[in-house]
Amino acid sequence: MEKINVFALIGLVLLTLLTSRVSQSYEMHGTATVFVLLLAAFKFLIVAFQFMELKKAHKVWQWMLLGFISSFVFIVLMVLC
Amino acid sequence: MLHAEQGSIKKASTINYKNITTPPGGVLIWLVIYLELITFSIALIAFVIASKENQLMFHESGMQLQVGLGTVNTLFLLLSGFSVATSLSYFKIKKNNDSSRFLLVAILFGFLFIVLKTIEYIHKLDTGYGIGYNTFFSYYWLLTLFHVIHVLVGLVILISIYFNMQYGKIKTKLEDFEAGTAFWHMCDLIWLLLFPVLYLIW
Repeated sequence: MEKINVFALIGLVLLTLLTSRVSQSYEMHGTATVFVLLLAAFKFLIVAFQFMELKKAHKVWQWMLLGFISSFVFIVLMVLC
Repeated sequence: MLHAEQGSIKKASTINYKNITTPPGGVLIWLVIYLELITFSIALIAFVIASKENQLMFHESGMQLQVGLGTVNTLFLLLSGFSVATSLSYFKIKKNNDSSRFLLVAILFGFLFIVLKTIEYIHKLDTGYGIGYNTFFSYYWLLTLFHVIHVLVGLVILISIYFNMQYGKIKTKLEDFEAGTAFWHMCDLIWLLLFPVLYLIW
């Protein structure tokens, strides 16, 4: 078992619990929405780079995914806020 | 122990992933992954744009979704993704028994996701929030059902890899295993986009 995968899993679980907690504890406006979406993007990147081993792939594949998730979060935030 | 295994993984993996034509799992599966992500993201952006026209209705509908169930489902998919990644690591160092065991755990969490989603769907239908209830629930049903179909296809792929490893006469190839796991992780990625936008930000 790869140690780094275990750390990634622990991080993902904690971030998931944190985002759920934030969404239930605060009114979802402005900062809280940005926080939840940024954490979701961070989790997305952990899964892609660590579990899917994108970190080992050519830079083009890595930048494409980074470009995708940044554009997605940016557009959603632009529409919402 | 962990360091020794990590060393073995580095030695066992012979594919040069740094080559642009050989990402982990192969080019084709990554093209599928990008296309799927773009498709779901366009639908999610359309959903968010639609919310601007009737913010109160989207807020009230969003409050009807159970964040607890969505959170547990996220955890099921993350645990499943971790198990698949670990299974692949063991497969690369030719520890097929350990690999099969983790693959089975991944399949189990996948089934748990489906079971919990079914419970959520039944509850939604019982309370009258069907696909035609309003715009929010039309998007909710279409997006989540489309995702569930992907999870079911992913489960079929994982189960077929598992049975081939256990009973198959043809040896499972690393490239096939990687492509199958990449598809499964894609379900994870899609859910990580759906969960905050559908469940959390209202």
